[in-house]
Amino acid sequence: MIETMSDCPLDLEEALARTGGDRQFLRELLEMLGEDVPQRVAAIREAVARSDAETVRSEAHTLKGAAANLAAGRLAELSLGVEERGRAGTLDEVEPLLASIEREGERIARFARSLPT
Amino acid sequence: MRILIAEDERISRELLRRALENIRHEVIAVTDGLEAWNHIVDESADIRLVIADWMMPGLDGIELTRRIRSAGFRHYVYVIMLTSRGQRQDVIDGLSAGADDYVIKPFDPGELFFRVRCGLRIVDLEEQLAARNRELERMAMVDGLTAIPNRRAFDDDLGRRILECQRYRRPFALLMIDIDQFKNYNDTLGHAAGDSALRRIALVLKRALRGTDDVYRYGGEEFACILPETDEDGAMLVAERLRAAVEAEKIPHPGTAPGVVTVSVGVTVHRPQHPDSPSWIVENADRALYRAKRAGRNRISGPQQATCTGGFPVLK
Repeated sequence: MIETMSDCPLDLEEALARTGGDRQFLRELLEMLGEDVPQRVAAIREAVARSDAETVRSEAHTLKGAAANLAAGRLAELSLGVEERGRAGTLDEVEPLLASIEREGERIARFARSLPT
Repeated sequence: MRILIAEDERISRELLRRALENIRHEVIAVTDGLEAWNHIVDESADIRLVIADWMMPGLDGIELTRRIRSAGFRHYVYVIMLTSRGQRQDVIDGLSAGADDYVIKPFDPGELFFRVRCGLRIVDLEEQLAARNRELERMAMVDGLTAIPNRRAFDDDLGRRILECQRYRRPFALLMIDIDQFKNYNDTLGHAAGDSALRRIALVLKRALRGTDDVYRYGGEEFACILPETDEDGAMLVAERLRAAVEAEKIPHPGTAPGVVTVSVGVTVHRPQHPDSPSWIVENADRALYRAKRAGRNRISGPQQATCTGGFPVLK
């Protein structure tokens, strides 16, 4: 299935600029991001369960950076939300964001597979 | 020369690697600060520019930078830190820890290119400066005219020999060599001829010495030799060989009796029980040299007030 531009989880033009116009390389990186999301989410869930706000903050910060690198705006925004809650210590607000992050991760993985190279 | 990337987040790491490889740099990419440090201290890795993320497991960017700055490497290591937008305090902390520059993530490949180029320019300038300093250091120890070690090198080496003599309880010999009637040579034949004679004599002395001995230009027409592990008998043999070698070179000299350039040599031997003062040792050799001069030049004089010429010791 080919995603339409409105479904695009990232600013494709911007992301291609970052990879020097290399679509194959962008696809590899997006696949990496798609793989990283469930791992980071699992790490954040564990940290929430043991009330480790600092790990919540740093894991979310790293995920935000990875997303921003590929101009994945929505994922970066959601990650920032988790990072801020980690910093504030309001860990009870994190779970709903994690669910959205997981969906966004799946969307990125699908987009990566559909990206013409 | 390689660039080291230290970044635990793999997408950012791969983007950096690609951006740098695209501009033809050799890159090593690692995932934590300790691994980065291991590469940086490994001289064969030849890392001159480091791009380090600020938050890393093991050793963070600040600590890594502090280590680099306090290590005193032979070459300058240029550090660019990677930080996220809005982390102003990170930038301040990083620069105060000794980072040279910073790049904000997500980075723009074009901007990175120029920042890296700027860093490499500094690394290059530092290298040129270091090479020039090494050359100046070498030149500071070499006599410009004769290309043998100079007075400064002599002072350094003599000090070291005295320490070795005390520590290992072994003697060494010092020879002071003076060209006979050299002022007269210069006055008669000109300074260009004088310079040329000095060069030739330096060469003759060097050739006549053993591999472990050193010859220095001590001053105007004076040379000095340090002979490690050498006692009176050995030193007198070497001194006589030097004297004979200069005479055999047959550099014409209208002002001396044999009609050629000759030298007088004063010999002293330093032992562990002697005063450890360089000037005391040099004065002993000078006194011996003076005796050789007074006895008629073109001869050698040893520490026991013995003089000899042509290989025949003569007691005074």
